[in-house]
Amino acid sequence: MPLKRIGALVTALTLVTVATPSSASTLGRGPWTPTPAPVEKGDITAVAALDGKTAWAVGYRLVSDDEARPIALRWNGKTWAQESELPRDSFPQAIEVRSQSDIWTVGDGVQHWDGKSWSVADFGRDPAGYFLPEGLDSVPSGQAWVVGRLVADSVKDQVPVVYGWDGSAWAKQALPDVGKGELTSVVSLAPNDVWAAGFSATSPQTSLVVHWDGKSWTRVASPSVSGAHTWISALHAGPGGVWAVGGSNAGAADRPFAARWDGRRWQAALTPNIADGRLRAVVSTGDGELWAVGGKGAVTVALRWQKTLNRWVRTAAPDVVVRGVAAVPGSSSLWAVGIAKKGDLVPVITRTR
Amino acid sequence: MPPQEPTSRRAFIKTGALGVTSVAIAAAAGSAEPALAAPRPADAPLPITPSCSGHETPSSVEGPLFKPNSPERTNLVTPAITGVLLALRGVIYDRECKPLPGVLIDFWQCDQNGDYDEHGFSLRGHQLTDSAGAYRLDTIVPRDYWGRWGRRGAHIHVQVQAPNGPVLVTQLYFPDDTQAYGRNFAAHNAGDQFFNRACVVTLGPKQGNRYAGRFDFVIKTTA
Repeated sequence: MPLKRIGALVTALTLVTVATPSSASTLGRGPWTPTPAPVEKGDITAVAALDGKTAWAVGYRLVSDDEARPIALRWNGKTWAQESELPRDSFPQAIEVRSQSDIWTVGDGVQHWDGKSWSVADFGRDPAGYFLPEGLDSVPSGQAWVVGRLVADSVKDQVPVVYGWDGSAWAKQALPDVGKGELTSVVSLAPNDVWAAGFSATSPQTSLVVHWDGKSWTRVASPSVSGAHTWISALHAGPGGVWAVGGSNAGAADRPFAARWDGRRWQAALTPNIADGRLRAVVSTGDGELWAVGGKGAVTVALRWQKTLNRWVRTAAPDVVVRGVAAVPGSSSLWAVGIAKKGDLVPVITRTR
Repeated sequence: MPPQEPTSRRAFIKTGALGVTSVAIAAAAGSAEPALAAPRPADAPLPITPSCSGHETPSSVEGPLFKPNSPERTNLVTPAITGVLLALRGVIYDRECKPLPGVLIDFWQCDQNGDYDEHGFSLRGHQLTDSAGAYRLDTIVPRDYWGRWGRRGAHIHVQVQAPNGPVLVTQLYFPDDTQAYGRNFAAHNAGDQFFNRACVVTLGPKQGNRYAGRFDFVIKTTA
């Protein structure tokens, strides 16, 4: 298969000047405080909290160079400790905690915790490819959604996919023809109001948003950055509407991307130009503050939505390569998990005071 | 896991002290400035230039993580990228050992934590060889990884294509004594099912946090 030649298009874009993340240091650590992670080597990839005394984090522990064990950690209000081991090779990427005995994780497959043990959801074999889930959400009535992609041989040919849980079984959802791409995140506001988002593998790559109205999934127009690859990595229903965050790349460093559904349409929101400041999570705290957190490698970025300015503003970020972020219900606190910026796969768990 | 294809062993590129060409030296000196003000690993001494044997560079599996439409760039070291810097240089030849200008060469790899960028295009980029058939890639040594995509030793994926020619899909590997991230490259090379000593880059001595590396390709220009 011949490679696509898009050199001329992207050459001009590489000349765009990018900002350095120097301003990050002037913000300091801010309110972020590390808590000891009970894992010496490995990765903490997702976190979710029920309240100030109850939270879970998942990832894997490297017990040797030859063995990685997927694990679930639990916060008891004072310390983190390992609560369980997930099924082998599950490599969890996201977690949804409904109660202490009703937890879903997705990674390589979908797993469920009933308070005593983990089970693996059976999705069968799809002729369109191997199912790799990326995001999940549920509503109090018990309905749950998992989004991701079906990968035949390569991500270059992957197609978005949604599965719905009705309380007893998972069912593949009929999507409109959105071409190749991936759904990375889902948020369910009600049984008949669910958003899923990711990216469409066009040239350049564009944001992708689909909506469930209780009867069918339809694609909804969403903004992308002109002349740049754009993607959405997270969704959240918070103050001011439904939020989507991600990144864009015009040939050099990434920059943050954010958009909002105001009830009528999706519109891009202003973000600061932070080199490699892609956003991975958007959450709101009990005091009504809206946060977006992300970055990659040496760059960590935290933004807060300033309603009066109608834009995202940079704030102190946790000193961690961020994998996952969660708000603590009923409080102003956040958890952020990931790995240290120095050392080799050193897990870090941190929170705002 | 995606299907796995057997590695071709049709060819073997000699590496050694012989065959240093003026073309290769000129190419290694480079010219264009990278677009980003990121650290550049270009000032470490270059390793000895491999010779062109005329034997085609062995192919390997594409793997599941290639994304088309990567940015055109020679420097993949953006502000987020930490790790052991690598200035990789080389020339692309045809099977008569004639340097090939205008060859499309597309690189993709994981980062210092073993993560591929699946949402965006970090550590992904394509370029065209210059009038001397040379490419230059400023990047980092990738880490070995273990995760949803399986378990691999450190490697860089490459696709190479002369204008209107067939696509060579292959992977570049690192010497057993490479020092990066405290990892045992010998053990991970030995345990990698696709590892091919014919596709190991030649590294100069590690200087601080950087290596200079060398790999020349020999490709078919017609199907």
